[in-house]
Amino acid sequence: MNLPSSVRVLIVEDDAHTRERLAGVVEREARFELAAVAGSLQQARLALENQQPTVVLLDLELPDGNGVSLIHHLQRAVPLAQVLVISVMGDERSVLGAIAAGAGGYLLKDSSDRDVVAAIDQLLEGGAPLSPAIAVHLMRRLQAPACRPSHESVPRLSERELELLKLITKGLSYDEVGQVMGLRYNTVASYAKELYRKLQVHSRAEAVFEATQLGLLSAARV
Amino acid sequence: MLKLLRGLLPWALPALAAALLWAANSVSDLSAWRLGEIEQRPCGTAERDWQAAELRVRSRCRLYRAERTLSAAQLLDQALIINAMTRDGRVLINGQMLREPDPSPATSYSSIPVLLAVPAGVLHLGSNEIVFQLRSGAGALERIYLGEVYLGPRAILAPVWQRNAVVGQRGAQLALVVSFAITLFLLPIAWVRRHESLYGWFTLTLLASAIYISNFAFAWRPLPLLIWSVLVHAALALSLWSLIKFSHRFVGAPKPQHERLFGWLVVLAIAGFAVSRWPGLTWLFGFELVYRCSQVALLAYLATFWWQQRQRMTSPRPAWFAAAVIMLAVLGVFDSLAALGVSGQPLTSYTLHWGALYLLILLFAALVIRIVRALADAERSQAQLVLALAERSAELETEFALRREAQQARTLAEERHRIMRDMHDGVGGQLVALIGQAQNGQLPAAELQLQLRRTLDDLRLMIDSLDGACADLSVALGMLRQRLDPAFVHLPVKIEWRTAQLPDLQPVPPTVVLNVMRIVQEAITNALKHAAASTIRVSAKLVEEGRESTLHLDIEDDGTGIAAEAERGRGLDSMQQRAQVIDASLDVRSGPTGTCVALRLAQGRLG
Repeated sequence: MNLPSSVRVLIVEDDAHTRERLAGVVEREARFELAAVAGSLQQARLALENQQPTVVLLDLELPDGNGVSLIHHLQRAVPLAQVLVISVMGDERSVLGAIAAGAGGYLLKDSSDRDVVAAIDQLLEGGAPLSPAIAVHLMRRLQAPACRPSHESVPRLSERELELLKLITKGLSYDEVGQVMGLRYNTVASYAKELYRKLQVHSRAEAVFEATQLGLLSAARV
Repeated sequence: MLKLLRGLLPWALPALAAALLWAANSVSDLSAWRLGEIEQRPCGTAERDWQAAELRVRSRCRLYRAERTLSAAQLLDQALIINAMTRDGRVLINGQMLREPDPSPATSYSSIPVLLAVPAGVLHLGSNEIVFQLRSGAGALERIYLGEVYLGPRAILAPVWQRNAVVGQRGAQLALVVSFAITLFLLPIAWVRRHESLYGWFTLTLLASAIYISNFAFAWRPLPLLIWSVLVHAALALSLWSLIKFSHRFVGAPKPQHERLFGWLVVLAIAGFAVSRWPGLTWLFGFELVYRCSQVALLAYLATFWWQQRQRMTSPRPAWFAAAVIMLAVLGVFDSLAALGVSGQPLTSYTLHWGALYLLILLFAALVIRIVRALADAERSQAQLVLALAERSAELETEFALRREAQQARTLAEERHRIMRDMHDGVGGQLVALIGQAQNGQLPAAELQLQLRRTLDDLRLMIDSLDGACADLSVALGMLRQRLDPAFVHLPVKIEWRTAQLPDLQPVPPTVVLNVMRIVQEAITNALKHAAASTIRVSAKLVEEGRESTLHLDIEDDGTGIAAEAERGRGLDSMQQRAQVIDASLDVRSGPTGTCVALRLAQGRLG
């Protein structure tokens, strides 16, 4: 594997037990280095002043605010850092919100240790996790209804991406999707990553569109 | 003052018009120039030749002859007025032709006076002979007729003739044009509103009076004289009759019982007139009185009717109508008297059409005013309707919003109740049992972990079932598969999913999703725990039969089967119960070569 020599991991999680467990997983893995652990947004920001993490494991529900604000902060402070959202089950909507903000993937809170390492590896290799429910939500968001004026910069799903998402919704793994579509595992994973990027662009375009509708941008230009 | 004027105007206007007509009609005394004695003779041979040469049909011919002795002052600038004459005839003075015959066979008689200028040199001092050679077309229904004749200075006769022509012919032409214009305007309305006889009767009045008036407007007679004459007078009676019908409908009162009576009166009048014109029986002429009297009676009724409406209706219109009808009656009576020779001069022209013109214009104006008012009313009520509609839809929207809120609240409460019950029965119950076992120290750590994992799985199913994306059972199955697959990597048992070919399904409520997923998960767990199978196969397909489609979900294993009755634990019972809750059928078949759990769930049509 062509990984950077040292993967520095920042864990932002308010539940002490989960935090300890994740820290243990990172420390046990030789390729990873635990940069810092934080229990709140404030602590995380403090840690970022001294640290340049490669990967941030981020819980969204923090005592002093929503984790999404830290994603925005990270994009300015440490642009190269990648974010894995620590998600509770069935929280696809908040996961989607975090992905739209710039998160690269998600990690179920009760994932096994092996799964945690695999998720970080997948993120670093340029892949992204896609659950059937997230695939459905992605389809719904990116197949924008016709009543919205199609903005030049709003990305749409390609035929292949749509096919991929359809297969994911039936519960197929990347391997199986690759077999069906005649693609390699890595290609499927990067397709998923591309879909995440599209969602980010889409969300930004939507925000710009809505701001234009409100006349905010034209007012700002004057 | 204004009120008084408004009260007087309806009466003053027709009175003024009648006075003007009377003034125009009262010509100076022309008796000095009237040709007194006109003798009638049968036609001589020469006249018969003229007749035979031009008319192939058998016709009658009559010769009228008069003499006039003239002084030297009476020889120049003289003129002849014939107030009525069979049109096809020659006029000769001293053997010189003054008027050529007009042989159009359908025109035989004219009540329009004729003015003929006498050229210089025709008249001479002393006795002069004036001859009229008149002939009629074939048939008993034609008549040869010569009215009064005047021979005198043109300077005196011409203005009289001129005035007569204006009052009679021009007035009638004007009335004709106006009534046709009104008819043209009303016909489309009468057609559109044909279920409402009001407009139809008015149109009939207009058409019938037009036929009558055309008699004075043109010399044209399209029918033999007697038939034409009866037709024209019948038209007048008909127009009065339809005018009465129109008036009854115009005021909106219920149709009076005596309306039928007028129909019979009209029939009587027309019959009387027809009898009075019976050819050759001059003594029947008195029957014309029946006709004229019934016309006057109809007019009198109309005047009384409108007079009474004047009391009932607040608007001044009835007074206008009453006055106009009275004017019409007065003009008609004068016309009749003149026609019967009781009063007036032979050159007095008919005036009835002026009265008809006035009345028609009045009625038309009233009708237009009524239409305009109705239009204004309709527009006003339309505006009110729109307003009321807007109010009502606003009310409905509010009501709908309230109902929707209530519905949402109810749905939310039901959902909350369901989740709480699920929590209590499922996860809650399992946790309580685990705590109890853990306290007693009966539970090895591995078993505790397994049980906790199960509880967590159940919790996941519940949470998944609440996700909108999982309302499609094919997605929910996908979620389950993605979660279960990694666990099987480390197990000696293989799991095969044949679910990817399932099409998108109709969304179903969370209860259905949860129960289906629990059944599948339970079936897989059972196979894992008890069957000692090497492969578990989950297959799903949509089977369509006609308009019905059914989801087939089969969980099969190649294990040892469910051994004994005692082993049929609560797992199977609870699966059955869950299937019952969602109206699905569950069939568990077990044998030494394996177990198959088959779930059948009816689907709504997609799209």
